[in-house]
Amino acid sequence: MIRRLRPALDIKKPFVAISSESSLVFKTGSQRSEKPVFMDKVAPCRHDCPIGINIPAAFHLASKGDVNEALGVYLQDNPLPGVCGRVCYHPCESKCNRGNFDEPINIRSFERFVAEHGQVDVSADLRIDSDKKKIAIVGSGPAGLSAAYHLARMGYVVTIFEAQPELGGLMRYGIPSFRLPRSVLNRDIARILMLGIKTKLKTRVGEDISWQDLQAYDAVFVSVGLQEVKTLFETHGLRDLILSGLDFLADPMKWSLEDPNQKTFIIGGGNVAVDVARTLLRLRQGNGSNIAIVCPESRGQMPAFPEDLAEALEENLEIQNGWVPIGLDKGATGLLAIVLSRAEVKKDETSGHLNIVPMGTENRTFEVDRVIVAIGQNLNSGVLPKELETAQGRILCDQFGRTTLSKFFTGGDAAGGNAFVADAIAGGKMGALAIFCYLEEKDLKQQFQANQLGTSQTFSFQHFLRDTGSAAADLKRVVGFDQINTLFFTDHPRMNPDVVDPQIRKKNFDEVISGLDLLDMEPEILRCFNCGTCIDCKNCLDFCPDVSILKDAKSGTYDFVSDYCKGCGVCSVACPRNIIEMKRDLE
Amino acid sequence: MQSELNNSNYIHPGHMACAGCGEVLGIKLVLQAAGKNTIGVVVPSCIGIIIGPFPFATFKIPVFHSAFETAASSAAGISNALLVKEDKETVVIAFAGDGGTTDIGFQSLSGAADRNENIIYCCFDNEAYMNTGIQSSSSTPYRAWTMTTPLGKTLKKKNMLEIMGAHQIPYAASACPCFSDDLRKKISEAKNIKGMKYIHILSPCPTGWRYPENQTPNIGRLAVETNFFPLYEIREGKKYKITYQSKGFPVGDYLLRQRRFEHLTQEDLEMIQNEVNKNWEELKRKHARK
Amino acid sequence: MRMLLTGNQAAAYGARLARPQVIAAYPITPQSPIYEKLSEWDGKGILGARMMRVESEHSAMAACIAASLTGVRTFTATASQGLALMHEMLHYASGMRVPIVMVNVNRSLAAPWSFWSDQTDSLAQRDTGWLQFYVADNQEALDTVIQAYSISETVLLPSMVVLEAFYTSHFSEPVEVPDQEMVDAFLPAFEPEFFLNPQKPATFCQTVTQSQYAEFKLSRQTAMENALEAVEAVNKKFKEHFGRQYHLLNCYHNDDAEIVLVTAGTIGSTARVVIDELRAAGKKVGLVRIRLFRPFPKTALIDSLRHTKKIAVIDRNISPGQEGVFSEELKSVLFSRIQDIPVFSFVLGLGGSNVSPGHIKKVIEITTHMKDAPLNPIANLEDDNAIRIKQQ
Repeated sequence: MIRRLRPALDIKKPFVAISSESSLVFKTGSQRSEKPVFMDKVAPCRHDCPIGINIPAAFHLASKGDVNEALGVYLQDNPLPGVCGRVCYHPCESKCNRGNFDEPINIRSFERFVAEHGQVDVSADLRIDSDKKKIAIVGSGPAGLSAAYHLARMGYVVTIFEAQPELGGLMRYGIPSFRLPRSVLNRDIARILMLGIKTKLKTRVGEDISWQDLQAYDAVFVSVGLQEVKTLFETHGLRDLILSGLDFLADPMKWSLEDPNQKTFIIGGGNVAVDVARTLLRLRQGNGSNIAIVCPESRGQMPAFPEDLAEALEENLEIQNGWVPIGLDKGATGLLAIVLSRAEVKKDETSGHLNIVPMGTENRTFEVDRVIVAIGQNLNSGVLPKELETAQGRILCDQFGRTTLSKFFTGGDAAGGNAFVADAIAGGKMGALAIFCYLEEKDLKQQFQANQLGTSQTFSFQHFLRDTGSAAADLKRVVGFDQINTLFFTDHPRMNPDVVDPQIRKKNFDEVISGLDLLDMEPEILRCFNCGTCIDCKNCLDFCPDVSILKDAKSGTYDFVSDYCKGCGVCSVACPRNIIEMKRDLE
Repeated sequence: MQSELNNSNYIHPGHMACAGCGEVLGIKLVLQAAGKNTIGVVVPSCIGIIIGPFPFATFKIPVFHSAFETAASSAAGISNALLVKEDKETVVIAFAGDGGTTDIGFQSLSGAADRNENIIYCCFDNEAYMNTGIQSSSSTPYRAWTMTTPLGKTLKKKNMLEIMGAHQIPYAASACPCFSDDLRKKISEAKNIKGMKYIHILSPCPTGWRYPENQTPNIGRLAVETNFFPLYEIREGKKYKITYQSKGFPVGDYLLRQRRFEHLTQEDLEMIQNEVNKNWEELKRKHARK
Repeated sequence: MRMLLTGNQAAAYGARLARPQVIAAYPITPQSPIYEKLSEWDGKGILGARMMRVESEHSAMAACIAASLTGVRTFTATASQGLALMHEMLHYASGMRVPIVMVNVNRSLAAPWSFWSDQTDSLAQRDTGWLQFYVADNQEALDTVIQAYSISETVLLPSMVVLEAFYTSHFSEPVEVPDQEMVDAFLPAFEPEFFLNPQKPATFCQTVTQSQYAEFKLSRQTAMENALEAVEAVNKKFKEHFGRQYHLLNCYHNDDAEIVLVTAGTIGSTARVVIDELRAAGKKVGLVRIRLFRPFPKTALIDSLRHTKKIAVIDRNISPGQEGVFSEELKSVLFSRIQDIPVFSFVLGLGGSNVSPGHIKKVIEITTHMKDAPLNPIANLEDDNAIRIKQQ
């Protein structure tokens, strides 16, 4: 009887304020005027990499301990990461956003690390239905190897024709081993060859086999490089005392130049000249007293990589700037007498070309025993088919490597442009795209533009063949430093590898720069901002006051919950790397 | 930034917090660390609105919305009832604003601390009575504009964390939702301690502090990085530990982004900077003590 | 077991026997001995409840409400300033429908400062939605505390058992203290349907709309109306278990009285002595002592006064600007049914001033001789009244 007195607990007429439903009924999403858009973007390092390597993605994978996956990212665009990790001029580092915060990331050391420690079996991962079309690659330098690699990935049947006994071009026959150990080069090449690419070594096209024979192929990529070495002047009877820099570097031991007493001038201010000098120094057990580099450029104008130049100077090599040779004759006391004249290098106002301008103020004669000439190379157009037009000493082609001859494409030094390994690799990649579009009848310009990174000359292969990974990406947007939220990062010095003491290293051909070991690489990997690349840091999830950001379990992508997101924009500020931007939403 | 703890959430969306609210962000993170076996006490404050209008609940844990000054005494009552019921699992957390802690709730908080009640008391400090329309509290900082201090507050901010330290409770700490791992870690730590725990959580408020609502992450980060609001712990009133090594940016970087400080003169800034520096040095000394 | 106990001690026994699980208390004269007695038992390990020695009465009530909402039986005690400090939370408790039982020892409210008996403190809380019982002796104190749990846990409203400072609280009387088993048989464990439970999470006491609030408030009114029945039922059950009978009102010789004295508390005990004396002298006087004040026992009161000619109410309290509360409430109830019996309102004993048999006789005398009841209460039994009577 007493129990009945309590009012019946009627859900419609509760007698005390206790909740019975949730706040999910309130669709607070109706308040918003802006909504977050989740979109990966292009990091500036990637944008300025000639090859367009997805550097932040590689760093992200490495940060999780996935070195193989990180290497896999490099291999999406660059088949020669071991080489680049040694010798690339790293334009990426100049553009690194972290450089505006404390110091740029040591991206080159990272590439080396990943190439050394990562293991990837490359496969035809971009396979298309290609009817097994056949491609010929002429010349196995970085451009040729790169083109071969990308074409083989697509499933084409690729054959490389190489005049030398081994593959590699200038990487093997030009860059000294103390900069690029041969084992590293061989490893990269072996990996490329896993794709079943055929090779015809000691086969010079134009001599051992004719260009006509290449008509049997569906497309030809000409990456012969610049075979003709520039000479100074006619040198009758002095031939054996004058050497081309490239000939020397191809086989330093061959020329009996070990004697440190042989006065040797090296003419030229570029990488070849510096490499020659340093190689010669090592041949002479570190005795550089009779070696001098002579060039018309001022110290600052020398085209050689600043880092390599600095290393050469540390090794106490003598460099004489502002001189140009004007005469060469039999020597009086030495084997040769070379006359140098004061000169400067000036930029022509109209053409933009750099010209050597003799000043005529002073001439000097030097008695030397050897002269090594490293003043540049030219295209050996004599060995090319006549129909392949040339211009200004290079094969005439458009930005994509298409030549005047149908089915013939070109890239690398032969095609002009920057004479660096990375640029050559980029040229090979571009050539592969051009050949694909030619063979499959696709609009090349459209394909390129659709997959172009920002306003650069490079594009994303993965995007091109629709293997974009989990996040949607806007390839045209490059993340600037002011779009990084630096409040989420802490200063840390850049980790730099050890460099062998100059007095020690100049006596041998061992590597000068070591790699970063795991202990030092780890903090450097973590310094990377991963600009524009979602790394699942979960800042957006943590910072959303309205529990309105969800990660899709299957695709791994993030999105906002339309019913509840108030459009406050906190997520866009909390994302340190500019994945999230707020866009108008007035529905 | 990798979150180690389970990201299960114990609040629903659909709540009435302002867009960009730092307080509900703190609540979300506290509850992530607290988990399912929790009973909450909420008192009038922005939180009292965030819990939702009857019968629609925002919190997924049981919550009692009690009178303004009773956060600590209500939480203590629940804690004692759980003891009687021999429930050793359920954690009791009080959610109060700064007014409900440093002003009207001070007495019951001090009493609960004195009795070492087994509760976690979280003060969500948005530095004024925000829910009622931005009126000054004893937690409003020096020189801040509010509706009741329109020319800027002339009194200093009450240092509630030090006061709770002086009660010699097992664990007292400051936290900020913009340092989410640190906040969650402190709640987890508190869960493992028997007795009174006090967490003072800075709650950036775009509405009352007058900054664009999307800036909450930066405001919260800068409060800590400028040492205006250092993150540290006090155990038993004696052992101090700084839990985040700040960068020491100038206080102007933090203050001048908020229009509640836009009238600050150069003199004001210098004075505040000196005060902040002094306190930071003092804190470092305490941290270094054995 | 028969013991000589003060009112405070009796109340403490009543509380302990009811098996509260959480007690939150703060000392205040004249309640302190209750708190001390409970603490003594706690120290001996025989209390059975968690004692929260809180830092103010406001916190005591807040803690009790929260503990009760966690599903446990609670108890507290206070007086005067402490009760006033709790005021906000008294509304909260009845609003949350928690069956807290509190003993309040009537004591004068400052200012000025005083420690002795005055009913204003508890009567000033009459709108808070608490049941209120005004006891006159120590046995009633003990018994009513136990009864209150049964009633409160049935209707889900808190109860206040009101003693008087020193007159009840500190005077010793023989009290029958029941065995624990007897009380357990009468009062089972508290098992609420709703409580704070992580297995069934819900938010308690959110903001409501205007109409929702009205509904909740009216539901309290319904519960209060039902409480009348609950009190009667518990009274009956109590008699069955313990042999002692209580009613809503304590009536004495009122059936044929020409003047009925209405009062509450210990004045009622003194009045009995006077009524016995006057009856012996042939005067037809009677007494209605109001025991249950909230809910106000309207019907019972009307029935008990229906046949009399004059009513005299003695209030040991006053609502300044009106009159004594019992008188005011009585008048409002009578008016709906009976308009022709004059009610003479007396305010005596404020601040614990003694109300002697002589005073009560004087009250009867004035009531007898005065023709019309004055609008304002009579507080001074000398002088003016004699003149007034003469003037009439």
